[in-house]
Amino acid sequence: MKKTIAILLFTLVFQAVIGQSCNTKNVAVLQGSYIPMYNDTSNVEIDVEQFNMDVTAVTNQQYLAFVKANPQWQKSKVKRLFAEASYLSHWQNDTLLGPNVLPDAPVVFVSWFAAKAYSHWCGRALPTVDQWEYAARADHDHPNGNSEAFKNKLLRLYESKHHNHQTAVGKGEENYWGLQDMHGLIWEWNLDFNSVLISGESRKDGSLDRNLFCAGGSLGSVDPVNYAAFLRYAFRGSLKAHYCLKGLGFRTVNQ
Amino acid sequence: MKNSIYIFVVALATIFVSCQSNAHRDQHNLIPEEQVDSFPETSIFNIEHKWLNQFGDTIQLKDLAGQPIVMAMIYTSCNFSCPRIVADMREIESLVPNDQVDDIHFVLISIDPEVDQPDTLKAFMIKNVMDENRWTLLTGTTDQIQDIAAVLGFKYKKSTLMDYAHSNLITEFDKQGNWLHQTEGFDGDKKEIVRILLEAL
Repeated sequence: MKKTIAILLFTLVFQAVIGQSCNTKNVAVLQGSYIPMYNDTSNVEIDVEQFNMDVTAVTNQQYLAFVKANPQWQKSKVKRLFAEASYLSHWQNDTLLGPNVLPDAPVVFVSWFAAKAYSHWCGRALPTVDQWEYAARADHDHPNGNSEAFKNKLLRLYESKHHNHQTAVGKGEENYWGLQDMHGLIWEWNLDFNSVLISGESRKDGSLDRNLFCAGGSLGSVDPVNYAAFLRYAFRGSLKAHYCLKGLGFRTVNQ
Repeated sequence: MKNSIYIFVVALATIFVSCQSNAHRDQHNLIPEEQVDSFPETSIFNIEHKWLNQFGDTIQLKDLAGQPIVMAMIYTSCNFSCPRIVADMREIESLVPNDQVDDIHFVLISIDPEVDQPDTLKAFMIKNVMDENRWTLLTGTTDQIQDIAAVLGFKYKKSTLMDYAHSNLITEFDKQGNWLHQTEGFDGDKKEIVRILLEAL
């Protein structure tokens, strides 16, 4: 019996060594529905199935393990099609963070392609906009934090602390689901960041969301007071998949 | 002893399965590690996905290297803007001099993998009287479509069961897969596009 346990332990350890170290703490976000800030058919609730989300954003340390195992994603080797020149520009070199980069801080300066590849490597995925927004609207005590106090707090966070990639993850208060740093630490990539047609050119596009920037567009949005959500939608609409920005990282969900 | 051998075999099997799953995950990587190719860093031929064309053949974008490419994303059951996109591409085709038109390739990538299978794409090609030597229609997985859409800056979203809201883009690439030009909407200057394509020959 002792032998059995020993061998099983050996197996587990061996697997841990050959496997990758992206086992992060994650929590279940139970199914429900929400009304997106912008919707093609106004005020229709979107159903969100239960999913499982990382408690915190992916850190420099975790991302380092990924690029060590996948050299094609190291900063000197990545193809420009998949990541612009600023990719991991704050790191000392391909496999060294350097003295100015906190291992436990969220990794930033990563492109959508890179974030997607990391997620796949972990057997996970990037959250969709619906998943992310649904999880992010929770305050500490409610799955749907819609108090004025919560909104004002978010506004202050978005005004002040964003782009703070020098702070370790997991310092923020847990929301209802147990998620941390959904607001105020960094912006986060979504799998379908390009699904909402909110670009400046959206009137030229075959867009059902064209009311967004037409006159009076904001009146059509569900909650004009929720300026923080507006900022996120506008930000996503401005992104391109190869962009690597100072305040933009990601977390993963189950596939 | 027998017992330990049994456990050892189980342990080995577990490791094997774990390695298998790693190998499976690696398939998702856009660039295989060993890959040594001669395309520029910004070339779309760096995307290694395998697609099915209108004849059910498996192809990669780099199989189209060597000819300037005119590319758009559509879905065949689309009634409004996709026919206009295709019409615009056919207008470009018609403006290329006869002796040079075979040197340019036209690519349509479907954003609706459920409906657009190779036979659907072939029927679409025939219905639209497209020359099969000049036109390639591709279908792939949602994951692949996302990647191409991301490269093109193509925005899309399923709006109802049947329809998508989407950008209207026609993008030109040179022989090496480098971005040449992109038109948004329907009012592009086709003559200018043809000039750019011919220059890239």
